Amino acid sequence: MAIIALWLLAQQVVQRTHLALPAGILGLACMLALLFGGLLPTRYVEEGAEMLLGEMTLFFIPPLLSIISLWPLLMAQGFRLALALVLGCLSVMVCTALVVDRVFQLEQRRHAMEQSPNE
Amino acid sequence: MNSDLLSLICLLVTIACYAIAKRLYRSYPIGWLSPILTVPASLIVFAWLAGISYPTYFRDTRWLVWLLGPATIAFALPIYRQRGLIKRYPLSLAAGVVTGVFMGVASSAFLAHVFALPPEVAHSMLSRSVSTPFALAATSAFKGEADLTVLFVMVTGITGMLVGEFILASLGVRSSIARGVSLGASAHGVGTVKARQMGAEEGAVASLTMVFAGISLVLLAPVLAGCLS
Repeated sequence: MAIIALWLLAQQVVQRTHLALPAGILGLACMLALLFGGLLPTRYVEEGAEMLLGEMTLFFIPPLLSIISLWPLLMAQGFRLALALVLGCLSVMVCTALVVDRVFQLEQRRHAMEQSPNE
Repeated sequence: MNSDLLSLICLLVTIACYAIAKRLYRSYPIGWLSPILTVPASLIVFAWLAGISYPTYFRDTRWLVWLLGPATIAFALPIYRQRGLIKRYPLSLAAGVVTGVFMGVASSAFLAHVFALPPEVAHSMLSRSVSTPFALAATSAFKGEADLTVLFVMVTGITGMLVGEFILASLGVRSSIARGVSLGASAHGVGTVKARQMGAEEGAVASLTMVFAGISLVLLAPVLAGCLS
C-alpha cells in the first residue's frame, strides 16, 4: 500500500513543517512527480489506486448518516436548500458546457492550422 | 448493548450493505438503484430502527472516511494515464476548470444569500461542486462543516447525473470534450460515471476535469474565503 504510506508521510510533513498545503495535495504532487519522472512504474500503485478510487462511494457514506442528527435543520430549510443545490449544479453545468464548447472549437481550428502546412 | 460493540457492528453492517448494493447495481444498472442512494437510505432506516445515534455510528466508520485522504493521492494515476488528452486539449480543459470552480463557488454563495440559508449551511455549500476528498480538504477554509459538505456534494452529484444528459442535449453541446468537462465540473465523481456511459472520451475528460477542479479549489479556498468574507 504505497499510496497509504505516501499519505501518512505527507501528513507528517505537513504537520511538522506547518506547510499551508493539505496533505492530500502534497501527496498527489509527489506521486505525479514520481510517475512523470519514471521513478515509480504504474504497476506498483495500480491495484491500490484502483481500489481507492473504485470503492470511494463506501468511504463517504458514513458522513451521510449525519442526516439522523441534522434532520431538524434539514426539515426546516429542506426545500430552499434543495432548490439552491439543484440550481447551483445547473448553473455550473450550463456555463462550463457553453464556455468549453466555444474554446474547443478554437482549439480544433488551431490544431487544423498547425497541421495544414504539412499537407 | 455496549456501545463499543454497537459501533463495530455499524462498521460491519455498512461494509456488508455496500457490498450487497454494489452487486445489486451490477445486475440492475438503473439510476435509483445506485449504491450512493441505496446504501445511505438503508443505513438510515437501520440506524433509526435500532435507535443508534450518529456519534455511535461514526466512531468506527470514521476509518472508512479516513481512506478519502489516500484516495486524493490515488487521483495521480488517472492524471498520468490521461496525459495525452491534457497535451491535446490544454485550453479547453483549463477553461472548463476555471469556469467550473468559479461558478461552483459563486453560484453557491449567491444562492445561499438569495434563499437566506443559515451561515453554517451556506459555508458548507461553497465546496459542493468538487469530489468529496477535495471538498473535505477545502471546506475548513470556508468554515464549512464536514458532514453538511459531504451531504451537499452528494446531492449535487446526483442532480448532475439525473439531469446531465437532458441539459447537454437541450444546449446542443455535441463535442465530447465539452460534454465531459461539463459533467466533471458540475457533478464530480457521479457525473464522471454518467460521462463514461456517454463515451470513453467523455469519461476520461470528465475525470480529468474533476481532479483539476478539486485541486484548484483546495489551493484557492483560502483566497476565495478571504474574498467572500
